[in-house]
Amino acid sequence: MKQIKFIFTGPPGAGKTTAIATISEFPPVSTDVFSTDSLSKLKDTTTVAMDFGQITLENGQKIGLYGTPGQRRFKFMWDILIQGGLGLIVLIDNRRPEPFKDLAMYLDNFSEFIEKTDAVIGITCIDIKDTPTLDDYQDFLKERGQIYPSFAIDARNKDDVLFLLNTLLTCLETS
Amino acid sequence: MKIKKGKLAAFFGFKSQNQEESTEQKSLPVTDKPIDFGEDIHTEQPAVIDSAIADSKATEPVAINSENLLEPSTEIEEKTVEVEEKATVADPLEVEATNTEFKMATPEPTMDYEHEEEHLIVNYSKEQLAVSEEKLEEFMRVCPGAYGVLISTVDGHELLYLVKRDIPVHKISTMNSSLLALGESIARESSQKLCQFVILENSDGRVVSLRINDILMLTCISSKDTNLGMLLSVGRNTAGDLMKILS
Ligand SMILES: Nc1nc2c(ncn2[C@@H]2O[C@H](COP(=O)(O)OP(=O)(O)O)[C@@H](O)[C@H]2O)c(=O)[nH]1
Ligand SMILES: [Mg+2]
Repeated sequence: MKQIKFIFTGPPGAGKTTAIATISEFPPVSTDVFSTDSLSKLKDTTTVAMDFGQITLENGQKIGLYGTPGQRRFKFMWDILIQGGLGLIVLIDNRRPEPFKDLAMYLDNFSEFIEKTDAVIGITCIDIKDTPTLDDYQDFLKERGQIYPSFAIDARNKDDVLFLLNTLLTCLETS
Repeated sequence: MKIKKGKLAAFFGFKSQNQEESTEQKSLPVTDKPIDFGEDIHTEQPAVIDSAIADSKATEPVAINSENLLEPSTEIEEKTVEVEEKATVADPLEVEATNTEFKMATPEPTMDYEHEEEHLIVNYSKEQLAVSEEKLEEFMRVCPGAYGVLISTVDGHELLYLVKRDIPVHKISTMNSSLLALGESIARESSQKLCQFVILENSDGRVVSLRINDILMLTCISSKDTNLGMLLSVGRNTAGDLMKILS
């Protein structure tokens, strides 16, 4: 069975590295280094190349989990990492000042990829900041004419991340 | 054979010095146009890099030619090395206000999406940067094939560099931060200990990246006029010196 490749993207701190570590069946490959810009107020390290983990479904299907760096300056890695990918998981950090702009930025930059494949959206840290709400996100997406499944998730919670993954798989199967 | 110094640009973390502008940057309008990576490079480079490169491109060959023609036997005339604070040159708002040419090359405001993340927390004194700069010059002197040497942070921000050719410094810094992290990660996965160098061997040159310390790295770019052994040892020594200077 061919391995499926899914890509996690989203702003720095949204939980991409955490989500992959949460569900990967082996300790994920990480390329986190110390952050030296104002991101360091939020967290000490940042991913500069990629995260890589793997999960095997009950039916034996293996899914490769690739995380991108969040920052725009690493866009060249985004372009490398999507190659051969089958779907995108966008994680959005609800604490950030303008989460809609974040979401728009990633949807725009991965637009070609998600047109060919599919995407799901996970909003993280809603436990810390509860606005905008999930409804607000859905309205925002509707306005943009982009209907993607979106959920509030905690990247540290295995069931939450698996739920996103399963939704993406279902989308792919039915499309 | 004449060696010319490229211009040197250095910047400090400008968080503390430039608080007003930085708040302004955050509120810049964001369009939802996709980011074009090609343009990306232009905006994110501090303006000084562009001008330094343009300057060296424009003046160096001329200077060499005329000197060769007119005074074939005079000693090397070195360009004064300029150390610039990023705070004074890299602010896009300021650049837009004063430099129309740069403004035209400035892509969508989307680019400013990230600026809140871009204020370096690493902060070095002028003295530290001046001594580091000397080390970079020394590196270039000792390795005749070298045409670029860059100190950047391990998360991809250029800090201090010396280039003799028009190379995209910001892009190189960022890409090499990824490459070094990948190299270190591959070493770990292969049960090997310390990753000392990441070496790119190309048909007409080499790019060598190595760590200076926890947060800084050095990238050396050279033609094959300098052999690999030399490049590695001088690179290693330079990184060692820089580690002491920039601690
Ligand atoms: N409170 C809270 N913390 C979260 C949630 N999701 C992730 N985190 C934390 O946010 C941080 C995310 O960091 P990281 O995974 O490195 O983010 P990345 O930059 O997207 O890779 C980690 O410290 C997580 O433990 C959430 O839903 N709620
Ligand atoms: Mg990460």
